Amino acid sequence: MCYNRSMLEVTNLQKKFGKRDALKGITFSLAAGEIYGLLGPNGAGKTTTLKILAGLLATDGGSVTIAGRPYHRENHELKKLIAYVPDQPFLYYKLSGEEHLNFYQDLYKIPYAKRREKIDFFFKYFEFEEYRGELVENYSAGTRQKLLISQALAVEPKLLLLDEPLVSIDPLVGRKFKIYLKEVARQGTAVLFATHILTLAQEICRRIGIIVDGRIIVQGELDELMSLAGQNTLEEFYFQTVLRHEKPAEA
Amino acid sequence: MKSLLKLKYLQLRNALLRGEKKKYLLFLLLGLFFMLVLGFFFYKIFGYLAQVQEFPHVFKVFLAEKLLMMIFMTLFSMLLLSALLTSLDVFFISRDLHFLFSTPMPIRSAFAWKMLETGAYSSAMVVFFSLPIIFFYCRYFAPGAAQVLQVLLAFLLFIACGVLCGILLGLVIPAFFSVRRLQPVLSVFSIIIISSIVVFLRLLRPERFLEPNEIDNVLKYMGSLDLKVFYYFPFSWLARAMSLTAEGRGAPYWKTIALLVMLATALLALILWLRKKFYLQLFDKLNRGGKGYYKSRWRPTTLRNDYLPLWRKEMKTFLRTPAQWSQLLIVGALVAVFVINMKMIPLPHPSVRNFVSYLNLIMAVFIVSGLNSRFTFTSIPGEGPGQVHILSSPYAKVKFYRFKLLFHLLPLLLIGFALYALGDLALHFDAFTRVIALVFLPPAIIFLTLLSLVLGIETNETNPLSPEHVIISKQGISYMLWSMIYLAGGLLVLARPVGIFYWKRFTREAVPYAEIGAWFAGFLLVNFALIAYYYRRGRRAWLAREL
Repeated sequence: MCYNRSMLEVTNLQKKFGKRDALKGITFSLAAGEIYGLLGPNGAGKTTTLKILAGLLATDGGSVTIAGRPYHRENHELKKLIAYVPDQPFLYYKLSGEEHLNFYQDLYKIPYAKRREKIDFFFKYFEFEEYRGELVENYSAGTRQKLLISQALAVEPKLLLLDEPLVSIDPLVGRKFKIYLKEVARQGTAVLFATHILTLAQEICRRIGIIVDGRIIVQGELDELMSLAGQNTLEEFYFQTVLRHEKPAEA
Repeated sequence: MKSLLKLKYLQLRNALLRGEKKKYLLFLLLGLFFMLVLGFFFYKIFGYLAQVQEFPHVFKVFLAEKLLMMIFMTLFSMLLLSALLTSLDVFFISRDLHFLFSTPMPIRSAFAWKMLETGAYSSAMVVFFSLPIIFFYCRYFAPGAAQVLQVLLAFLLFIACGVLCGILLGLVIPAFFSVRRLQPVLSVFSIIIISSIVVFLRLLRPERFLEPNEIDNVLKYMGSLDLKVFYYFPFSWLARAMSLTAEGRGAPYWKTIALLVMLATALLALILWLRKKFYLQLFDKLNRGGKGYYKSRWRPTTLRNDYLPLWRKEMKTFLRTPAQWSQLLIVGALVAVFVINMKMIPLPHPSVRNFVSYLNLIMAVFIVSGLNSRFTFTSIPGEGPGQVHILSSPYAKVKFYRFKLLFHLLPLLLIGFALYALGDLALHFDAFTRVIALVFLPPAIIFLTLLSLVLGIETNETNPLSPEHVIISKQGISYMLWSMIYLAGGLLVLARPVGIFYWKRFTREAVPYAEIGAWFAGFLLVNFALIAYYYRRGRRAWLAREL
């Protein structure tokens, strides 16, 4: 696989919440077809980064380009390329699953002729066909997560932003999700995802970035980083890196 | 129990320290305003009853008792339904139940706490409405300190009976129905009952009380109200106890109190028994939930309107939330009362009709303003976290803002004009009043709708517990105050041209149309400026919104 075309360029991204600096100049890039994992402790800035890219938060500095063009939260043309799965199952509870998917597709102006097949596919693939006419308010947490993932995948984005996508998902469907994710990446979709599940990141990411306290302290090819640090697992590498950053003297 | 009280205290203290003082202050001011209005009304009524020379004292007390019975019957229905709905929520759905039951706190303490919560939440409004009534009743009929205490004791027991009755029903009903399904149905039911009572009371024409010439009719009217079945209800006992206090009859008063105490004790005993035997079983049953299946009607359409997906989503959500649409029934009842008022309003001279038309306009905008407070203001906060999908999608944010405005504005304009038209149909206003309607209604409705939408955005609320929580926010109360100030201002500004027109017509002088036109133009210009300012302010706030 060749990753030469840049889909996402994030340069010196900054964000403040009141007096607190949530992001202190984040820089990374992502090529088409690449899966990039953002790792880091709670409150490090992973979700904030994804929210800025999804257009939910404004930036306080830095720049973002998508497919070579400058991006801001009101750039609707570029937003057509992006789909976002939030870290919590935020949904309209009074719509049925199928209506929710249709509503989301309407927001992306996907023609009806194209969407039917996709919708049927995802209900079957993620095994919640029997819930398609049920109101979302009656869904379990896992089913809500399946719906969120389905609606993001169904619009065929070029840049997929995933925030803890496998929360509440059972291992069987989780496995299917990973297979599908690798497949969409193979077809050219860039995937940026934030997670605490290190085994998942090790399994599917080619590159990772570790955010601590609003800064990316390490990033690069996963295999290279681990071999340079002399670690066999991502878990060991992660702990060593984060601890060294948080308590330099002890490390 | 002590720790839960402390928790409530800490929540309130933190809310105040976090800068919500203004909100509570505004809420208090608004409450006092309504209390004053109610107080004035009952001051006039009881004052009139107490001072009419033609009636003997016993008859005055009797009339006051019947009036009180009508009022407390309404308040009792409100209290009962409110306690029932609150108890379903507090005992079965409330978010903190799982937390409470997982702690070492005994179930009986958690249950007692929940009873107190239900009592406080469900009776607050009834107590609030009742205080001015009790105050002015005591002023004219039971002024002694001991009498006041007697009245208050009876009232407290009345509240306890209503709350306990509601809690009892709230504990029995889940044995037969799913609470999650039942609560919205009951909300609709309670709203139908309250709306019916409002219309029923209006149809009885209580203004006849104030017409001495109609005393024969009033007596017949009393007879129609004097149903034997009422004597089995606490509202009748409370009215009786107040009446007996006014007459200074101690023994029958204490018998009535004993009735209230016995009922409250019996209800409490039953509730405690149900708690011991069934409460936890019912709580478990609730968590199994129910299912329903909606056929997807998101069909392809040839319409290529950008607002269509939002409109579909909005309508489906609205129609599937009974707590939302059922409130329109109250509006229906208000409109019915409005039309009845129009038909029954006594007009001493035909020329007064036009004055009524002028007030009718204000009334129409007042109703629209109430609808704005409930629906438009809560519209964007009520979107909840689901708006993540709209904001992260390629859908233009500004279109969403415009859609929200239009979605509420168009029906409200229709309602405003329909209310005016109903008055016109009933009283046949003259052509000039139609001009005033055209000048006043559109800018007023547009401005108030916009104001409520903008203040709703400025709440910055993205995951409210309920629309009511948004309504009592600082911005919600500000909206109520500003809309009242706007209405009073509009009334004053238009008083001048309306007054000139009718005065000149009355004196048969030439009507200064240029001056009237200038006033109207001024009114429109001010409104245009206000609308432009708030539209831009709302747009700015909406575009800057972060999730």
